[in-house]
Amino acid sequence: MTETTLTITHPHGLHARPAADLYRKTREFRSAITFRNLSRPESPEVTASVFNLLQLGIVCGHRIRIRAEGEDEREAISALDLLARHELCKG
Amino acid sequence: MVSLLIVAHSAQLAEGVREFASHAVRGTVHILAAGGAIDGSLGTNVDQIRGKLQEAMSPDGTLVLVDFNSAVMSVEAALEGLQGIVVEISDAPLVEGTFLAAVEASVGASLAETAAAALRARSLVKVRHD
Repeated sequence: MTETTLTITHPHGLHARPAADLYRKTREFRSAITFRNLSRPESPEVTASVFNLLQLGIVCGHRIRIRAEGEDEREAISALDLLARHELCKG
Repeated sequence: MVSLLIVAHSAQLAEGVREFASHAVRGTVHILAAGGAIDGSLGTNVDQIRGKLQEAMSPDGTLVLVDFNSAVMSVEAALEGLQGIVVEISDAPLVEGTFLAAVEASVGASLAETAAAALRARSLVKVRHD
């Protein structure tokens, strides 16, 4: 299992287009990929879907964790971490 | 790939939803819009919808998203006489449903999967009281 955690600094949090981009990126890999909003302890670990990502209530300042398990988990986390940092962790 | 057709009572509404969803998937999905009556007033136009259905035609099918139920009747009327076209009309909320459907279609989902994704928009929570 490989994971990354990052803090969202985009003023709109995880909004529609980055959620779509992240989900679309997960589909390029075979690993099982999950997301969790660590800043909402009651929020569950969810499988990758754009609906689930929008339901995590991720706003500016929240810390999220992305996990992957499978044959290409390192590549998946590397790509998702890069994409998330580029779109959601500016400034 | 599944295509989408947005049918609304206003041309601007249909085009705006199309623009938003297309932007969200970076233009990777064929999304069309049909809106407004023949004279440009608010309403729907069966001939325009029929033309857009033909334009949207994909071997994987077309999901049609509508604003209100009279748009459904117009789509059904437009489908009469069209053959060899695979279409499903979604009961999803228009904006959120089109967005979710576009994302799902963009990753190569089937028409049934795309339609299911659109319907999930019914339970999408947008306002949090915390």
